[in-house]
Amino acid sequence: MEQKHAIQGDFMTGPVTALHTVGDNIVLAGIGSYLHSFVISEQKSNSCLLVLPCRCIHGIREFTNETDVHTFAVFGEKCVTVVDYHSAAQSGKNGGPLDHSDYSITITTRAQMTEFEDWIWDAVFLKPKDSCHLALALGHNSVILWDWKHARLVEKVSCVESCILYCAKFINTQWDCLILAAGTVFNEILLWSPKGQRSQSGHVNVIKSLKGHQGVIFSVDFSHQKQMMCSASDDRSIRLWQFSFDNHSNLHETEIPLESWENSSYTCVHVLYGHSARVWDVRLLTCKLVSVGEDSTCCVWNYEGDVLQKFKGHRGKSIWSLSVDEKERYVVTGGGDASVRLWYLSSRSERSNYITQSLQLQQTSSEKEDDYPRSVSLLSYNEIIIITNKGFLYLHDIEKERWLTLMNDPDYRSYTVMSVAPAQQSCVVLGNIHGKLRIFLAEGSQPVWKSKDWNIYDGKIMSIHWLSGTRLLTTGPEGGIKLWNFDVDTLNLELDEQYILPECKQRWVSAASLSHGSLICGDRGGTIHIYQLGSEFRNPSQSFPKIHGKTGVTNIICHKGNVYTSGRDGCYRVFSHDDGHMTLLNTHRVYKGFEWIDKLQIADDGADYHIFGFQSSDFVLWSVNRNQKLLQIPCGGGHRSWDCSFRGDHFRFVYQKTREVVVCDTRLEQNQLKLKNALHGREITCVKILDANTEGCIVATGSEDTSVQISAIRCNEFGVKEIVCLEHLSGHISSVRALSLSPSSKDSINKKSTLMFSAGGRAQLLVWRLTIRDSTSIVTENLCMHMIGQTQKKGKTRMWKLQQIKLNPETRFMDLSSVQLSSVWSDFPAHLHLLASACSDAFVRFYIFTEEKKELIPFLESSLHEHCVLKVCCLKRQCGSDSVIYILSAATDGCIAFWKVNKKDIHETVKKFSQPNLDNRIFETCSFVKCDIHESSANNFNLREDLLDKESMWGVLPSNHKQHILKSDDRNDSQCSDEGQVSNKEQDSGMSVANMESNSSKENSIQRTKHVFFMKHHQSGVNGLDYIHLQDDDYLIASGGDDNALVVTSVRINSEGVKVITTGSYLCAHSTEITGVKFLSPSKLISVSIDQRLILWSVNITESRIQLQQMSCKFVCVADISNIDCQKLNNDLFTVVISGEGLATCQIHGI
Amino acid sequence: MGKSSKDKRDVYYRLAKEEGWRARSAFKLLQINEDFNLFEGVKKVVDLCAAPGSWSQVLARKLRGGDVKNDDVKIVAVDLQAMAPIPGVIQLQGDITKKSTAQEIISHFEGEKADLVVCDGAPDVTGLHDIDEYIQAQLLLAALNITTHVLRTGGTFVAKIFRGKDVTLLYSQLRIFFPLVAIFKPRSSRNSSIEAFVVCQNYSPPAGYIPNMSNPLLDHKYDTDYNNLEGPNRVIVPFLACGDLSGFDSDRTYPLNLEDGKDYVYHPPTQGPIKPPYEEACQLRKTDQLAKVVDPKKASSESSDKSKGDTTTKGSSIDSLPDCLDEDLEFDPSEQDVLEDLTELQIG
Ligand SMILES: C[S@@+](CC[C@H](N)C(=O)[O-])C[C@H]1O[C@@H](n2cnc3c(N)ncnc32)[C@H](O)[C@@H]1O
Repeated sequence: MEQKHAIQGDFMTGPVTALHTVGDNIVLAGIGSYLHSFVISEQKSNSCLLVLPCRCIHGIREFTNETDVHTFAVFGEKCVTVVDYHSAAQSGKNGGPLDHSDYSITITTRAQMTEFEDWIWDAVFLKPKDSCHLALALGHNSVILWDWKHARLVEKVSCVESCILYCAKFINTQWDCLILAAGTVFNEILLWSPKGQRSQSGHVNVIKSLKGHQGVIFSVDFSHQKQMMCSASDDRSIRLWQFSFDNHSNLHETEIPLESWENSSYTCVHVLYGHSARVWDVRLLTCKLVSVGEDSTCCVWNYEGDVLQKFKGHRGKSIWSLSVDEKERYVVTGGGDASVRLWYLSSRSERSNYITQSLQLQQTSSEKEDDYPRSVSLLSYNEIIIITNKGFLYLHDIEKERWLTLMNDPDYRSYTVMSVAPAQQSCVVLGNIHGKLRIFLAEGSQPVWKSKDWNIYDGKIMSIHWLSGTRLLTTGPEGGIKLWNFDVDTLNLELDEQYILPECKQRWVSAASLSHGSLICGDRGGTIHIYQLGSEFRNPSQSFPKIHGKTGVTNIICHKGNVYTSGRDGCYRVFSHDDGHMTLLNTHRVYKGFEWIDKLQIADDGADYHIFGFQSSDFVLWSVNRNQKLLQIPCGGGHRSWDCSFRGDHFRFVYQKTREVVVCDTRLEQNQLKLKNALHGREITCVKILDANTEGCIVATGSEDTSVQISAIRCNEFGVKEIVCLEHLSGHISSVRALSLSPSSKDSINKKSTLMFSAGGRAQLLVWRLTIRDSTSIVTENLCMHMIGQTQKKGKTRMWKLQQIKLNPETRFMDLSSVQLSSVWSDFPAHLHLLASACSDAFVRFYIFTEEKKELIPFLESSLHEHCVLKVCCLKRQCGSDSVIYILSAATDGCIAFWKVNKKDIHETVKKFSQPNLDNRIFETCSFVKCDIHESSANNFNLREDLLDKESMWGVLPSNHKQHILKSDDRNDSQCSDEGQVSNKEQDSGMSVANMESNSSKENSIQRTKHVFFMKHHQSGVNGLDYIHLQDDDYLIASGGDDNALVVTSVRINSEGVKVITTGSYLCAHSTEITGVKFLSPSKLISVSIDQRLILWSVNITESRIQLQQMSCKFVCVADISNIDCQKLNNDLFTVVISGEGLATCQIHGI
Repeated sequence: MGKSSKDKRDVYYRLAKEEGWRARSAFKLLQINEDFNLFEGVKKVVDLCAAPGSWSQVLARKLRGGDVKNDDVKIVAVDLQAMAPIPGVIQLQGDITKKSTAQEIISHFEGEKADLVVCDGAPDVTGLHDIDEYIQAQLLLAALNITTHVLRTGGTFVAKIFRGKDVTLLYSQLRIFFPLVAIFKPRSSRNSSIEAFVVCQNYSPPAGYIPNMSNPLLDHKYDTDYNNLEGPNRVIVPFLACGDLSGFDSDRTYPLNLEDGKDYVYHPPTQGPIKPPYEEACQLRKTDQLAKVVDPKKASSESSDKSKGDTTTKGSSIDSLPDCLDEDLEFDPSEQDVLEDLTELQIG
């Protein structure tokens, strides 16, 4: 085939299905067809090569360890290849520091890829080395001896049991004593040898069959040293089998001869349950075993069956691959989330390595009897400061075990608030019940403690916060906030500003911070207030009422112009802050069950967030970036006075427990290294390109893992393309299925700003604004959240009862499409957008979004399709003042409907909405204006404009579609069908829906008459839909279906309506369901399908027909392809992004 | 999640329970029958991969009518999993890819042939598509191999198929034995599901073909002329969707009140699974007995008199690391269906 029109794959990521560690610093990973090499010390990929075209890598086996060259067999599916790995590194040449070039390597193919007749489950290079023999274990329990240098089949041996296997593992490395341990579907592990006894049929008998598992065997491993076998199964257990070989006394020999196997006996010594789902793989080490599973965890066990470590960090579902380095220092795991993580195997258990000690207060004198601590803090890593119930202030040096009494003052009995200054100096401030403030300050290297008092309130000091080393904030009675300047040298306190905290239940400031001339305070009621410094107003200039729930704001910090707040609602929030005004950008829930968040810290210069808090009875330190708990310390629960401090990786946590103070010391084990970043934990359902150039692109992806992610795809310093997460957006409560982009009104030349609509399960739709700062950072803002059936009222959202009954909360949004109205009608402001949605309850719903008000206004809806609606697409017809928007919608019945949206209707809706006092009922009682429909005439696609009684609800349903039963030899000729497969009106069907809705339609205060046009193009679901403007009034519509067919129709749209001119279809365009179509130009179209092919089509339009011709086809190694997006880079170059079980990008040129 | 939320999401799941089917799969066979009239004149059937048994239920109802003792009719059902008995259905337990299982099935047809072989076989999918599709294809081929032993010439073979990347390789294999092959998608299979059914009619093995039990039938390879990997030539089998559009749409979200005036009543699942592989693990998990990270120091810090070396606190105390499966519950189970039927009824 002529390769003028070339599709070139340039990047892919997806599940990591094979891993192999090489030496100390290199990890090889199989991702799709590509072999990646990672440098551990750099946490980067330094090379990537396509080694198994059109296949997925499932195993990597090493041949030798010659100096610089390593040879590997790489296999997957039915194919195997042999590659060489050369590293250029003469590490640290010239003795100088290492730079990137020291890690540069090359991977070259030694033996061409060979395809066998069956699936390959295992491979081993046989001894002697110069034989060039590779043994392969195949899918139906046979073994192949393959001479890889000469690409020659030497021998094939089959076992008498030719059932399908789920795994196989070679034991020994010489052909004469090679043993295969094969795991079957039916609970057994079969041991046999290609050199074993043959039956009459020539098939080899089984030596042993190990029974006991209750399900499919997914993995087997054998340790020569321990003479143990282990197996993992569908039944979620790991079994350990001890073998004994009678006549094989020499344990040091690595090959156990065949006779020994025949005479061996075995017992199952352990049945281990530790994973909460299926176990995929297990590996035996010298004194441990390691297992990975569907629950995304990696367990480290000892041979007694205890779990020593559990590594959790992979997102979503399943760890697929596992490798341990030769020295058994670390485990590398590869997940379904496309990440590669390295975990250190330490001898001790993660949670056994903390030391706790409890401090008893001296109870010597009678005064001190019955005293107990009220509050504790760390002054430094070594010094604890304790205020007691009786008004004693102690300073305790933990290392030196020395106590110092700083104060004994009955004035501070029963009630004291205490705060330790953040800066270097040792400075403590106390406030008491009478409004007295006392500051203690240590001076000199042999510290001398000084103190000074001020009376600052007539009544209780409610709270004290240090905002910096010299600024102090206090709250007194009746919400009196005072901001002080403190001069350390002169011990002088000066009142700077005063504010009022608005009334709330426990009226004091619970967290505060200064940012760009504003004071930001949180209160116990979960509200955040902003005060302007230097202004005469004492009241907040802006407030976010109860934003952190009713349970209080716990922490506020400022970082790089943003404000971060945390609360006991389990969330932290990010705000932008400009000119004294804050805007909520995002809300992040840390993880389910972790509600009590007390503190947030920015770590690694903004690359990570550390969250401190309490989960049930434990203190927890969570790393957002690693998606992992860094610490977990049982302490009996939260609500205590506590503090913590780092020194290097040493961590000290102190807390007050009834009558004692507990000090807990531990080390922060950074036991996880991310070699490759995660993408999504589950399948990616939709993708959109935000920005693209020849170097790379920025994409938005939505996933079944309920998140939306913005990522950049670009080359790293080794020239390897990689994907970097710019922002991970949570907020959806169910899987995300659709994304749509529209230019934001804030868009400008130097700041690309885009609106993103995301929607999915549980009837939920979210609107975001994304502003690209540069290729490495993006600002995201959550503007609005909408649930079908929810109506908006000023400031509040509420469900309208009747709607709630009618609307099924399980409704899923299936697709979205949006248009900026000003791009069609220039007299509309830039902040208005039309959003069309396809819903699983058979409705199409149209909305208007006002970016200015951040509100989504329900506009029109219809259940015309009577089937789950799968696709929507907005078609802009631009012709001056006559411009209109047509919306195309397609459903599981294979029909495509056209809807017309007029300027006038939008105007009215927007107007009504902007006058809330006019008639609130409209929006309360019926969030949508009913869309009445006209049917198209059956055969000529002409549009009639009948006016229907507004109260008769009905639907148009195609019923008599023709079935195309092709004779079986009818292959792949492009069929031009001009017999219209059009709908017939069928009044009586779907009446149940109609009745149900007539209620609300009666309450409608507005009716609309809509043009509709209907065509049946597919036998079942339409999963790809796109259009392009051809010329004048003519448009091309392309649709791809579940029925494998691709249909292109040219339609004429003008003031008379919609009319089909010609249609062309290719019935078997793909061998499976088509899931995406896109026009590149009026004569070029691309389509993708579950069959994992990307096909470029040419579209030839003649008077009577449209012909589709396949120009180029490219295999894409992303399974379950769900969607595509493409963008033109220049006249000859397009970037295509494909989503599914992973993500791939391609370039198409020669158009 | 309430008991009814699954009913809200999946209309066929709900109907299956209401009509007494053991799995929603029953509708698939019924819908295939509507279009292909499968059961006409059929007396002897093999139902491969039959558990929990809804297809066998359909077969028993359709072929026997009410008459359990109709001697002409023979239904042999096979599965890896144990199945609750169905009157008039011979049940075998075993792996259909195993020779011994195949021989056992064949032994029930000594001297006579089956009119219809159905296979609804699918693995418990792992999530790695290439493996799942490969295994499913092998089930289909094993079923085809059994079919070559028991099906009468002119008989029909219906099998589940995953429409995956290499599906054309299976088509070309099926074409060798059947002149009429169509791929059919019943309305009760979801739009997003890769499953479909091949309906192969008029069994006519190549002249001189001798069925062979010892060597498995394998799928074909890509070649350059007839079935290429990236080229334009591909074995094509016509696709058919169920003709009746007025039936329920498996993708659509229906309100609980399907008909006016008839109130929604929750129905429990008809027949739970019998001894599934995960039974024991689930029990342990429910009672919080899965192994946890051992923690010697912790035991000693709580009660200081305990010796520090005590490491055998197996399955003890707290492991409150976020439990991945609990988080899983956040996900919509219906959204992850590839082959939902079985697990669906199990979840209930
Ligand atoms: C979708 S279910 C069948 C449902 C069934 N038709 C019904 O209507 O109740 C798929 C079945 O295939 C079975 N199966 C999978 N692999 C098998 C094998 N190798 N041999 C026999 N049965 C198998 C599974 O145990 C499972 O019960």
